[in-house]
Amino acid sequence: MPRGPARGLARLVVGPLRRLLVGLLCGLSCLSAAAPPEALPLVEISRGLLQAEGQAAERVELPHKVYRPRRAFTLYQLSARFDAPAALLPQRTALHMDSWPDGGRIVINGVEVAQQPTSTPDQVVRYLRPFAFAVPPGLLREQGNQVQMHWASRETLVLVPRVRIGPREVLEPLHERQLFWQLTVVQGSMVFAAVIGAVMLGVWWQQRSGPAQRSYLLIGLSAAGWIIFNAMLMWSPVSAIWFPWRRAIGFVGIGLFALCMWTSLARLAGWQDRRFDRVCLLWFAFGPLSTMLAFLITDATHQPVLEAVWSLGAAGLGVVPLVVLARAVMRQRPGPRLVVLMGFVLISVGVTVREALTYIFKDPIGTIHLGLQLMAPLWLATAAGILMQDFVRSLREAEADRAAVDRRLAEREAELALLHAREREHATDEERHRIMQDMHDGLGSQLVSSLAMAERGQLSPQQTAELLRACIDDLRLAIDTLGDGRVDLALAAGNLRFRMEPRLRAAGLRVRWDMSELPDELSLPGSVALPVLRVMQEALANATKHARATSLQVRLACEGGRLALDVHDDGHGFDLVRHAPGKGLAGMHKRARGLGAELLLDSSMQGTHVGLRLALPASGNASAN
Amino acid sequence: MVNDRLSAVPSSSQQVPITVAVVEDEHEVRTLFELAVRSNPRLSLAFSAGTAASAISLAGTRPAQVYLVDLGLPDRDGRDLIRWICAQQPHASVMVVTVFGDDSHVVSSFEAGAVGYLLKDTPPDEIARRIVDLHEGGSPISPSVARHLLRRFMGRDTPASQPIDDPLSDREREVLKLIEKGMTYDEVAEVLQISWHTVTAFLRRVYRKLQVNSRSEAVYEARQRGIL
Repeated sequence: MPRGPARGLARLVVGPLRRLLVGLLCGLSCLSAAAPPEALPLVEISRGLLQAEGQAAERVELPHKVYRPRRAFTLYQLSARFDAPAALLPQRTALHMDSWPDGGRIVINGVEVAQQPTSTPDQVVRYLRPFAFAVPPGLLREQGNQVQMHWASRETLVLVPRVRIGPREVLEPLHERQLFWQLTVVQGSMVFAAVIGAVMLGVWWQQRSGPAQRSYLLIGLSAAGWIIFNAMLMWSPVSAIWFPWRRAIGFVGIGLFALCMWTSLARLAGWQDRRFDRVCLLWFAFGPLSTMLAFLITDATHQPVLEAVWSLGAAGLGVVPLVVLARAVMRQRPGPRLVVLMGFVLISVGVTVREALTYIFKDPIGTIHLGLQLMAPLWLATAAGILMQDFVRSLREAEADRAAVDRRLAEREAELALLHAREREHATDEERHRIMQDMHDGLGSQLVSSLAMAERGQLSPQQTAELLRACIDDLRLAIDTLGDGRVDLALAAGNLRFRMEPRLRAAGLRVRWDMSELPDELSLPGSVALPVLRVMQEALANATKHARATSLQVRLACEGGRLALDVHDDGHGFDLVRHAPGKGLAGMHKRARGLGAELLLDSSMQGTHVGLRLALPASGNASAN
Repeated sequence: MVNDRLSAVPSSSQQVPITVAVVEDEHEVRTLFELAVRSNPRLSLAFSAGTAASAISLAGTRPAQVYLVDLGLPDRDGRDLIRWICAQQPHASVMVVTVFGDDSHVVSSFEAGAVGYLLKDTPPDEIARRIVDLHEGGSPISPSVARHLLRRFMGRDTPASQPIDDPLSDREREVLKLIEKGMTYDEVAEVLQISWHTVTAFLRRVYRKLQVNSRSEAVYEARQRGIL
């Protein structure tokens, strides 16, 4: 037969599909029609002479199971005679077996009808599927047909199948139906498990930090176990060395499947227990270990017993989630979720017990555990559905949470905006108040007193000019300290110096200006900066007017959280008590008091020192940009 | 030293007086300025005017070397007059006369082409001295004007993201930074180890760059608005 990769692929896809379709149709027809009528010309070979290599031949009923104490490569031969009904002879004829685990050759009347690789000393075959072969026309006789089956086995359990010979029209549908259940169903359940397992493990991996996500891992592992189990069932031929491993890995698979199913079922019912998880883990490990030990130590003699014990145990552990679910159902009004789980657990415990009993009372060889094959996808679908429901619910909850957070955030923002607006309003009020106060105390009172003196004719033109100049100086200072409420002290002091410069120069004063110990941009509230600058301006003005000095030292500095202003001149000084120069000193005292600052005044023949010490507010200390 | 510098002024310049024009609408202030100019032998009054229009007509016949311009003229914005003078008589220096010397007025006048400013309450002899200083290259600016200039050139106050055509040199920026700290020209000169004239030359360059940049900014803005 020509074989290309495309053709192989097509066979791979079309074959199962066709079988699925035919299988379903057959299933339906089976429901409507009863078993095939007796009248059909069908031969069943149910008796024969079995001859194992080196042993006496024995008469056996078919199907027949051979139990051997140990593994050894052995050749087998089965011979039987049969008569064919006359009605069969003219028909197209087929040979069919429900299973044929060891393969081999079938010869009818000296002609080879069927051939399938059988075990060799190095290799073990295991076919878990039905077989059908065409019988060449004209081969059968009415009487005395001879059929012989030859095969080999290395294992302890050997199955001799029953052979059917009959019309193709009857056997082919039967064969298709069996193929559907034993091959297509298995393949389908593997694909399904692969999809569910990938999704579950993917979800678990993405959210593996949360403890609640363990269910996803368990269901994913359960699906993986199912795939491993079936892959092992289909693994044939196997090299003789690997055969025990095939069996052990098969147990790993079915163990993963069943025990992860039990623990995650308990979790889905809202119950979690570390001891149960541990028991399941131990039992899971015991399965493949016992198989391996049976192979290694007793050469598989006790293997069937061990496997039966293990299977029963694994099935029995399912009682735990059953009890958990029953308690949950009794305690609360059962929701649809619990009912579904409960129904499922009942079914699955039943199926597993039945599978376990099969191990004990029937031979498992050549079966694909159909109950399990149907239960596994059902379990995975149930679990995935429940988890998806959980997932969607938690998504909705998260969405609701987010909406609540957003709402709270918006409320908070609105509150903050209101607060800020109030603060701004408050700051504007404060600034307005400060300016009013300043106008009242400074410029206003100066203008009023100047006016009074002028009206009494007490002022010379020079004095008038001096007073007005002082007013303008005050006004300039007030303008300099206007703005957003904060004043860069060094800059404002520099401006003051710049304005005073012509007068200082005219007075012949050499100025040493020292701002080096002031932070780069020390910003103070206007209510603090303005009085400090007023004191400075007053001290400078006094120096130009009264001191007859030649040099003037002006220093602003920050010293350990305190602002220090010092104005030194080398003039003749003045008597602080008697010759207090006008309102200047009183004004300085007043401003220092208002600030809560310390004013230092010291005057002698060697000069005058005006100093101011002010504790800076913690925030005022920080330099602003 | 201040006095050293004044005595260092060449004696020949004293013989040719600097011609000064006063454009100020307030009569008292104008009179004060006229007086300040007339009473100083180094200065001579070219003309004085109360409106921009009369100033423009007089400037044609009697051009001055230094113009004192009030920003609040009755017929036109003083800055328009400054621009006109700078365009018509590029060798003349313009000094703005202002009450408060606040940054925005001063800087916008510099943008129009002024190179100095004078407070209206300046004493007469100081007025004369400032005019001479200006003619010789220098006119001091306050620390806050210096800061304003620095910020202008750092691009903070420029409209949109108009790139500055002609940024400040390191030296020019240094000079402005020292003035911002409250230093006089003499102190700046001492700190930077340069002469007083070099300091004023740096500042003149800054004003010119400001003028050029503001002009290109205006063009840029006009383009943005679709006028040009």
